[in-house]
Amino acid sequence: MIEISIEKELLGSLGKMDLCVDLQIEKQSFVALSGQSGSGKTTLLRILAGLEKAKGRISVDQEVWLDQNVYRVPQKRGIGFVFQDYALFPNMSVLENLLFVKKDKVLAEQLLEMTELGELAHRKPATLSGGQKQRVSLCRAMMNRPKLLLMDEPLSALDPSMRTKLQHEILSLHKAFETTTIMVSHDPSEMYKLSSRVVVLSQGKIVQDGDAKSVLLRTQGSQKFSFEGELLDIVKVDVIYVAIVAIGQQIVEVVLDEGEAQNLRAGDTVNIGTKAFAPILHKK
Amino acid sequence: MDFEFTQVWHPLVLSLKTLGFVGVLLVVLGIPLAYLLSKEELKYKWFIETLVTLPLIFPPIAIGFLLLLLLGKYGWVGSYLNQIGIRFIFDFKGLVLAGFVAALPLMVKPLQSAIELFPKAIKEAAYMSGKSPLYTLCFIVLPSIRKSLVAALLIALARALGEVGITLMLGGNIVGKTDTISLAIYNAVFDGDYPLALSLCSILIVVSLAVFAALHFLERRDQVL
Repeated sequence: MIEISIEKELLGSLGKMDLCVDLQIEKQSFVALSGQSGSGKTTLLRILAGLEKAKGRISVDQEVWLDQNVYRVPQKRGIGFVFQDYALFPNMSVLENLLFVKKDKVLAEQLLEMTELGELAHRKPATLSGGQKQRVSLCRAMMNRPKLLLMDEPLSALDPSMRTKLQHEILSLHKAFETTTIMVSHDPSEMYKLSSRVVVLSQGKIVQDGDAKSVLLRTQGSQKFSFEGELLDIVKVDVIYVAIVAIGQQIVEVVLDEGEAQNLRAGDTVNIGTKAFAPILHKK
Repeated sequence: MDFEFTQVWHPLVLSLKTLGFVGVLLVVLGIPLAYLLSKEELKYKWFIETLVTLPLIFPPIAIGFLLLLLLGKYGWVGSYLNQIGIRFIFDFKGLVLAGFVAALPLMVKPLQSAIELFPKAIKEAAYMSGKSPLYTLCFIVLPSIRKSLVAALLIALARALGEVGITLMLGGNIVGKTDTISLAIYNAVFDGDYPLALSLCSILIVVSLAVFAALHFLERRDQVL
């Protein structure tokens, strides 16, 4: 069990704010941490890792990492950390990167095998692709069999197909090592696939906390489906109005009447949903 | 040619010996100093930084004079050192000190910025692997910036080789004792012995070309790795 109760003053996107988090995390669980940029996600991870100081208390399996009198340095916390930009040791080969953490060749080879990196063991990080680098970083984080694995948007710099592949690898590593994991992510499908619990931060406070389905599903009441999107433009065509909305990587048109159009401005965040028709799912 | 072989040989050996000691001092003191200055939260950082950079801006001859006042037989520091038998003035130690002071900013400043620019996340990854900042510096940071390190060292040594002003003040330009190769050129020109000056110059040209070749070789090797 990991118990977190911390406070820290931050300079967020809207000026000063207080990061104030109370969380209990079950052993071996996989928690996704979400929220807008500047909401304090990365800072929370860094406080857990001991890279930043904060007021409050952190205890992991009865060990106190932080309280009024204790501050355990990052070296002594037994943490695995996966950075968004990999942070591999540039002067070492893939295998050396892993062995630097712990001289355990058997574990290193097992990890490289699991992530299909066996062939690349003697390559330098500079010669690897983004996806390969992040797999090395993931293996490296697992080398000291961490009590807690922290991942800060590990897949956000990768293309969609590589992302899916790595999601599977993260999941299989999580199953094999049963490491308690906290991952910062913005991708709902990723959070749904990987995590058992989703925590949403806003302005330094937890605003939602629950299983992936209850937090991520956006439909309300009898809605068949609902998407969140950004309103790009409203165009008047004869007597009707057409709203152009960006949903993820796609752009769609929705017909509005005059009353609806008057309340909306380009740049608004909107929900698109429907109640009457059953959506049709086609395989592409 | 009507000059003696020792007139070339002696200054050359003296310069190389000085460079050897300066090189060791630059590695032993320059690297920790660069690391210290790369820390953001260092107290009196501006003061140490000014002290290290001073010889780059301040005229060498004036630096030499100030060091002479400081380390002379009756100087503020020199009088104490003299009592325990350490002498810098008109001595080989003075040459090493002169070369070191002149070369230090050229070693420390580029190295400091290379350490500062080294990604923070990589250092943090090493800390979370259980490694201390010193271990991380020695096994991750310095090996990763070795090209900058060696380039800084070579350029600093080249500066020490050409040192005249401080060396003149501290060493006294005693022929056969403290006349480094650069001072020997000055002496030869002063005596109107142009062939000797030219020979000494050629040696400096060869040494400089060797430094360039070494820098080039390092760059090539780095690309292959």
